[in-house]
Amino acid sequence: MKCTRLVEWYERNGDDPTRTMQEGSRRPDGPLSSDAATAGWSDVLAHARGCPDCAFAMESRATLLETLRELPEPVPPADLNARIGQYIDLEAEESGDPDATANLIDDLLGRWLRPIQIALTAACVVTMVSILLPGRLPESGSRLNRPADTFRAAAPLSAPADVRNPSPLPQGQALARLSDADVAAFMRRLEEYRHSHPEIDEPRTAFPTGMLAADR
Amino acid sequence: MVETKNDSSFPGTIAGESGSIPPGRYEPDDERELLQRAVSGHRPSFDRLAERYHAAVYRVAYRFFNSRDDAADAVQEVFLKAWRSLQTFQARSSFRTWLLRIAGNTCITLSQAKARQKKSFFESIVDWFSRKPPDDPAELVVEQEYQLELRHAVERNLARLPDVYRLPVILRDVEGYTMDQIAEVLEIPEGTVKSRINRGRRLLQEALEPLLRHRSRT
Repeated sequence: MKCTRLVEWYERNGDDPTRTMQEGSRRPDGPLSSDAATAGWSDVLAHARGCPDCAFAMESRATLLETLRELPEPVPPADLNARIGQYIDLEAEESGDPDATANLIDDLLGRWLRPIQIALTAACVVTMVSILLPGRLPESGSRLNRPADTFRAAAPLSAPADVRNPSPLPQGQALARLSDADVAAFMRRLEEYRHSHPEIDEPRTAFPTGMLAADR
Repeated sequence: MVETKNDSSFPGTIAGESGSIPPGRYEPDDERELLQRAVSGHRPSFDRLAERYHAAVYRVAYRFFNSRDDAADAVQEVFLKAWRSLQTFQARSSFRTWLLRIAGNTCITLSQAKARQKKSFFESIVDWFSRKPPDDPAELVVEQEYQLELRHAVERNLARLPDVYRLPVILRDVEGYTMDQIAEVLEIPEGTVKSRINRGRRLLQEALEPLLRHRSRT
């Protein structure tokens, strides 16, 4: 039957007191920094001198800890840091990282959408200027409420007519040619009409004759 | 605002600066700033943090798997997880502790995935005891050969320890972390850390007993 006294001591107390005492200087309340544990360790040491099992256990443990402590430090591959970055990029693409997707959409559609955005913006600016520019408004503000009139009022801005060179009449139509005699006859008939209707030259009123109290 | 604990008491040196700065004397002056930027999604800042810590994570992963390829895979996975969950980093612990926590969990997960089936704690213990015995050391006569064989045997058997014991032993006996630091990394009570380390050491001792007995006889 193997002696387990040393093993039991390790189970109860953990590290060797020598090792724990080094830590104890940094951490005075460490589990093995008490005098009791140190005194117990002295007893175990004394026991191990006469006990082959405990002596071997102590020696093999010391060898193990020393070997562990002195294992050569592994050197990471030289390109490991670069591989980390690449791995993160790759996983982000494969997993459909929202940021990455958003960037991709921006990249792909941006070049197509940008001209349209510019054109729409320019159109909005032109429309706003044409509506708000002083001196270009129609005579009556109330007419702006009528879309057709508004459009007609804005038309000269976008397509000014050349008043000196009016456009020709539509095909199949022609101006009637009147002689001087025709004009003189028309003027005579107009004069006769004025004579036969003298009320034309009287001042106009808002109400027909007879409707006002003064007329009665 | 990211407030990080100063982890200058952690053992080991910083990646790329190995040998130039003694253990425990590194002061992460710009780490808070890097972290703040990284948390807000600034990738170059995260890359700098990765550059700074990848060697420390690699060491633990290498000891865990005893394989360069598996360790490199684990490191990539650790930093991917860290990048994805960086916004949940609340700076209750240092960034190094947080990373090592992710590293521990990742190593265990990958280890289980490699085994193609999730083993229970009991099964991993059974595996340990049913493993193939080490080579007969009778022919190892030269001290140098013995030391080399012992080292390889320690590395091999360390990587075969049940997961629950492996990480505490690596962090304590290879990396030199204190009990309270390990408890913080693994998020378990210090008493549990202590008992797991002891149990892990005992399992290692038992596995290496033929080699160690040979040494004591010679």
